[in-house]
Amino acid sequence: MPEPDPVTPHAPERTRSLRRRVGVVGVLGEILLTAGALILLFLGWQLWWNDAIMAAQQSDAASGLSAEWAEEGRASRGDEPAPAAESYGDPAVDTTPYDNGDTFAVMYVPRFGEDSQRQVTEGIGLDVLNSFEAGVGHYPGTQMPGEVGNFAIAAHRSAPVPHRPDLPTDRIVTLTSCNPLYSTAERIIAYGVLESWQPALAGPPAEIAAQVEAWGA
Amino acid sequence: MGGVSMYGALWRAMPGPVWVRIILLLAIAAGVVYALFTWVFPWVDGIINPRDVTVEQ
Repeated sequence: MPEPDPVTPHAPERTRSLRRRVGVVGVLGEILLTAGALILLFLGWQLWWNDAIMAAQQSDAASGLSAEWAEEGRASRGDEPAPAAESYGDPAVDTTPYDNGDTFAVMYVPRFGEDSQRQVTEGIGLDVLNSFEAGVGHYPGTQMPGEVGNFAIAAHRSAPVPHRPDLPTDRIVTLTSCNPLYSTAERIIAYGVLESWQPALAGPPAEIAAQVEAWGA
Repeated sequence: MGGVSMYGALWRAMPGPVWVRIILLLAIAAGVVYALFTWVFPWVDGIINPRDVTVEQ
């Protein structure tokens, strides 16, 4: 005959209190796990999803504006034929004094990939760079496209950049952005020199005609 | 099964066989993620993380 277990009478009570303690720890664990998952989700949203949404809206806005300008151009031109290529002369320079937030151009960079067209807007504050319409900011005080000097622009790494004061006879474009991707530790700077220009009446340049067509104009 | 558990309670609160509960759980999770992405995260972003990447200085 086995001896009666002296602990047995107390066992239910002890189990219950142990269970309650496990329950509290379990819920705390669940809350912590949930918080961890939420933080990871937030980072994913911020780095990837939010950028994707913003990029799509910016390129849509650029396409819309480009199409609007093309339509206005057609309307004002009437039946007048586009000028011949030999008669373009020096690049036309837009001398309008733009205020912060005014958009004056649309930029196409085929090498940046599909739908990389962006509005170019005066100013380099967060109101421009983080805008869901703009995205490329023009450094105030730097030259305008086509003007001798430096057409300087800034953008996030989902967009383009200018500055070369040692070459005052060229028409330079400088693009600044952040490096590495998702970090602000460094700046990345790219230069370009104006190669050719043509009036909007003559349609998009051959180099980007396919993109303007495909991405919307 | 002993102990108190939020997710255990959620599981027990749902009706139907296991596959119905799994589908329900997925639907709830999708709804929660949608709400987080659409409303909660943009709000949190504005509070804790003004993207400090300005080039004005």
